[in-house]
Amino acid sequence: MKLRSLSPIQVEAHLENGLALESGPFTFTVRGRYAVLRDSLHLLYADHPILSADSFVDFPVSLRAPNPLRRIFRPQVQFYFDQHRPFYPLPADQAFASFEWGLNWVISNHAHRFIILHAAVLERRGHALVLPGEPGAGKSTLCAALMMSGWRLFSDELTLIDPPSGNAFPLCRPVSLKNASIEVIRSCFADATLGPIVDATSKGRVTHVKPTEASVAKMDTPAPIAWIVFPRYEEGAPTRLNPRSKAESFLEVAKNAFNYSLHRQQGFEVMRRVVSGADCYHLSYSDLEEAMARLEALPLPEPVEPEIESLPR
Amino acid sequence: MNLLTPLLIAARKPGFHYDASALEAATLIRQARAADLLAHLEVALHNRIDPKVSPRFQMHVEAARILAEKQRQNVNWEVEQIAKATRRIGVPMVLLKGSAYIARNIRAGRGRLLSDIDILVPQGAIDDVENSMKKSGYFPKEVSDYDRRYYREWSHEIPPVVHFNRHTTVDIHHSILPPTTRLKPDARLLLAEAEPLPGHEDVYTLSPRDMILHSACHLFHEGELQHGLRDLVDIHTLLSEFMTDQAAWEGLVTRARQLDLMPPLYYALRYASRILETPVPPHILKAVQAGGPGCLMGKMQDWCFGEAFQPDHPTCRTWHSGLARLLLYIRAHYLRMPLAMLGPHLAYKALVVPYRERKREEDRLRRQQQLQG
Repeated sequence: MKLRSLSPIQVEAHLENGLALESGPFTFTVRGRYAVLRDSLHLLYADHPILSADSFVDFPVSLRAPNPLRRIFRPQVQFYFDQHRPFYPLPADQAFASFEWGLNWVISNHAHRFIILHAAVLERRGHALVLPGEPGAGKSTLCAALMMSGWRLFSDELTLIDPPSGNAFPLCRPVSLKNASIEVIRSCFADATLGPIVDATSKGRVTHVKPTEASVAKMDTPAPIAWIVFPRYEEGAPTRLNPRSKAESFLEVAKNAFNYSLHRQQGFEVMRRVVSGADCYHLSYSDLEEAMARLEALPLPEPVEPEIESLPR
Repeated sequence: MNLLTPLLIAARKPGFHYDASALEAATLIRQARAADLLAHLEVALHNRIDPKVSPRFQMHVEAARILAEKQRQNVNWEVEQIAKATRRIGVPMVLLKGSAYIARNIRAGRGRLLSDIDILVPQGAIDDVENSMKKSGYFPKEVSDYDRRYYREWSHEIPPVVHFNRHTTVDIHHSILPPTTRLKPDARLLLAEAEPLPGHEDVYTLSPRDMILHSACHLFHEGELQHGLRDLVDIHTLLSEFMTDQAAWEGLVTRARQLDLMPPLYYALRYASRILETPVPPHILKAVQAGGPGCLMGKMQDWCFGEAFQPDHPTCRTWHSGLARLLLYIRAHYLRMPLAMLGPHLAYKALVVPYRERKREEDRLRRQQQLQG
């Protein structure tokens, strides 16, 4: 059963005891009495399957007032993972954003079965495109735009790589948009479903875009990584897509990973194979349409030559 | 309901297989994580999880295994970095607790997670060690003036030092109990029996029986019961690996008497056998009885420790768990310092520390949030 089949009142009832959802390889429960949380979940996770109460829940999270006073007076929201509070409380209107950020933290700190990179991922023609990039490089905007033009969304933040296969796994949660990119996506894609906009967060104006139905429908299907593209939005810049050296790309990706070092030698081996098998580029752009056209025209990488046995340890 | 402890006991049987419903298995993961025993659980259940159990269960224990293995590698490397600092001034360094179990590769080190490395050095060398550590990049953590004085005058350790780059925390001890405690173990005896750690020069660990006694001291006389069950599991694992014959058991009791540590040994054996069903020969339990409390006090402590050795998770909590933990906290302080000192200290802790800690916690969370942004 999908979340969209529930009425808002039913969603609220579920949120009392823990609304159990499945997204990509993970299951989680959310509790919380915030209207913005209820409405945003209902809207942005509409296509996600709801789980029964007796399912295995990976990550139980809840959003509560840090103390009773904060329910009434300048209401606040505190993110809880089980009984832990990894963050400082936020104003109550950020309840949904707080849930999304909190869940990102929970996954990147606990799902060590995957190598987790800080990068957006999408899929097309059975192959995954990884977009690493520091905040402000425009990876979320590009990610939302590609998803709205038919790419299958994996994630806008967390690239889950399965060792030893090296395949990327979809996470399929809403794409976070900030400030100017909200207008860009809204004006370019009339059919994009955006959640309520929250002002004055630590990141500025924030909202989330609903994953496309097609992305959610295939969220169990992983894909091999074919392209690693480092995007950079530069105002007024012409669109340039230049190959980038694999060694440099490897270092950059590893540097921005959440748990690469935990995987030790196997992590190195897997990432070496992933980067060897993918084509790496540097993309600078100011025109979204052009940038997307260039990404869609990317050829599949040449098959890598059979591997020489790795050196003895 | 506590699912973890019965499982750890049951898993010792050779033919054991773990089978549970999805709901139970998920609750077990949460309890084990709260008790800091998730990686231990992985070791205890290794290859003995029934295929019918949700594959999600496997994902969580696998994550814990990856974390523990990385930590093992880090600990072994960090130990050598610390040793460079102590070797430079010709001081022997003894690893304590988790880092010793891991570096020695004994059973208690498998799946043992830790947050800092504890070392023991001769009392006279403590300032030199602190200075030499500074040269290696380990700087004292900022503590309040009150805490600094507390450490210097009443504690068996100095304020923790943290590596400026790797953020590893090292606790430097000169004894295993605070000097204000009524029990007076002589740290020189511990150093004299310490055993060299293969592969490292001038690095030692305590002898197995001293490891047991130290772990008992730490658990029953320092009041840090947040990871009570984990520490009791350490004691159980050490006992089952090293107390293999009559002579070993008797050696343990003799050593406890010699070090003035009969009470902690009594508590360790009593609660390991009561809570984790550790086999302890009856005549040994009887021999350490002298270190135990009177009848009424004993009953009360059985109740308190019974509560405190539950995993620290909401699914294991009752309305009186908090009371039991509070009583044990007061007990540990009472054991640690004379009454004249206890009153002012607890007043300070109750009135000033929460305010300061809240401020510090707020700062920490704010910084973390900025990083996330």
